Amino acid sequence: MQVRAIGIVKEFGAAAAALAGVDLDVRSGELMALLGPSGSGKTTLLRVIAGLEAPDRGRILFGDEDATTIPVRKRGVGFVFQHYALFRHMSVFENIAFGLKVRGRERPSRDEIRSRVTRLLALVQLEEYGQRRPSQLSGGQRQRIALARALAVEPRVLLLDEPFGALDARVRRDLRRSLREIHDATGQTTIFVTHDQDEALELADRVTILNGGRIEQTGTPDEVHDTPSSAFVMSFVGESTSLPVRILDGTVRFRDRVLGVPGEGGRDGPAALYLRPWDVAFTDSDTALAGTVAMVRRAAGGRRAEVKLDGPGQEVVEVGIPVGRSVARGETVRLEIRGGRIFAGRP
Amino acid sequence: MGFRLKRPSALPGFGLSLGYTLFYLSAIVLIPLGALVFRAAGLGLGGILAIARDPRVTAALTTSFGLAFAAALVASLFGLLTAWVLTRYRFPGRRLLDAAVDLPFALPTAVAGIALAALYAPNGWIGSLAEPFGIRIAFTPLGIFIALVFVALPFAVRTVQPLIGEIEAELEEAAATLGAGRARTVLTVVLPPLLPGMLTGFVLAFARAVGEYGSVIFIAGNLPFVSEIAPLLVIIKLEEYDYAGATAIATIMLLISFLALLVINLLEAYARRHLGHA
Repeated sequence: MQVRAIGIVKEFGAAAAALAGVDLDVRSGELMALLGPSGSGKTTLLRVIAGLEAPDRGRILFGDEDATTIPVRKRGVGFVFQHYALFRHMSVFENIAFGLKVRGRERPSRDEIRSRVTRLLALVQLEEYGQRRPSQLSGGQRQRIALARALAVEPRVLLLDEPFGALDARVRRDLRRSLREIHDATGQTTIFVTHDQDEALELADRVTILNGGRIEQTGTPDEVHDTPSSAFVMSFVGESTSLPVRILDGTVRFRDRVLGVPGEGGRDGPAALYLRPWDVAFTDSDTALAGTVAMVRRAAGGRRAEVKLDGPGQEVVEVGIPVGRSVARGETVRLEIRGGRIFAGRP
Repeated sequence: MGFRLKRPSALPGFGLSLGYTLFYLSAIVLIPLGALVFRAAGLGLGGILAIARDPRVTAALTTSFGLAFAAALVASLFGLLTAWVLTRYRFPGRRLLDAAVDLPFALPTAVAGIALAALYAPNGWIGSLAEPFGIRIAFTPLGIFIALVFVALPFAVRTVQPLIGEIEAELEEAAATLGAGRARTVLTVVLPPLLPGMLTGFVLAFARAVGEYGSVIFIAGNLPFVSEIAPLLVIIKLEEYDYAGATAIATIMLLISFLALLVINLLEAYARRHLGHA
């Protein structure tokens, strides 16, 4: 089911961040991540799509149907909450069956409910746990049950609000993979909210980045990482440091030194050069930028050196350390800038 | 080493606090109750049973326990509603209403009894409205019932109120996304976790209603076999200098109350395990 949000405006409501005109287009069968810092409006947008919040302006479309005024309980969405929101007084089985049992006239038969719930328990790999209480399960298991409960009603779109936020790192990784597998198996249109860029980039087909109630960029993980459309996306997604530069006649200059980075038609004047760790390399050239290693640390993907550049500004640049190269704190190094992205304004 | 009463603990003052607890519990609760049972035991089992079989005593015990049970039941339901309204909605005067719930705690029970009797008497404001329908409230068991609900209500409200405040909004939102309507959500998602708290409130309300004296005697009419409560019968026996009879009735009340509370507490523990916050 294609899900579209058109011109959604939501002024500050009860404890929710505002939205200032948001357009979102989620394709049928897609796994979309809403990524942004806290207060960016990502959860508000998800709740507006679910019908848990009403937008002040704008429309929500499910396929060609205008869903804006359809109440939550008839909208056909599955919602997974950060803190599971399982019904504590019901068994796991009863929790998953809840959405089927409340259906009134279209309520499936007992046998059908039983077989549906059993299938869902198998899907989330908790076949043996039907008769347990939620309190007897671990956090990761509870979130799997919450996922099964949301899928039981065969929703038109599955919405997850920070689904891994309350879990520890290892469980988080397992559950991420499970969600991906379940998505691939069911082809369920899915939107999930996260503030964790790794989660968004690893899991999603496309990522929408929100900031201050507006969408900064929507694109595949590669697109938002490699060709960010704004300085905010550049600095929020992936590692980066920035240098104040000046553009003059199509060249990029840092302290009157011309860098080997194209100006990309930027207007003459001050600008910010954003660098990924691999945009900067150690070199032996005596004429290259000089600096002192302030810190060496190990990040997920490799080692990084923070280098404080010699000179008046004392700018800090992060450099990816190639395997086999030894770098010590306090060492004087020379750096070559090979790439990077220019954005208007000062960093 | 053998048995040691005092184990090393991070909390200091075990000996002192247990000592004080036992002392006060003995002086205020255990010794008076023990004396009561001791005094009644003077009659022998046969003597106590004979008093229990006295039709007037049986009628008074039935009235007391039956009406206390009914009043506690109604107070629990009405208390749940009151607590719900006070917790869930914001309206002008909410705090005043919230404070008013405690008034039955604070008001001298005799004052409450006289006020209720005046209101519900056949010529009172409310009693005169019921009179044309042939309903008499004051000086009948119905009047006793109303007085008992009055004194029991605060217990029922205050035990569930904090639990209602704790219900996460997400649970109701989850039920709504799963397609449940409001009524069903309240019945199947919101209320079950409140049941243990309601049972606690019921126990307190029942215990209070069984022993209530002051507010009841003014509105009851105190007709033997109709609207005479067991505590009043105890007073009557005392005024006749029949101390043994009085203690016997009191002991019977104590026994029934104890059994009733035991059963309800077991129920409550069961409910807490199966519905509550494990």
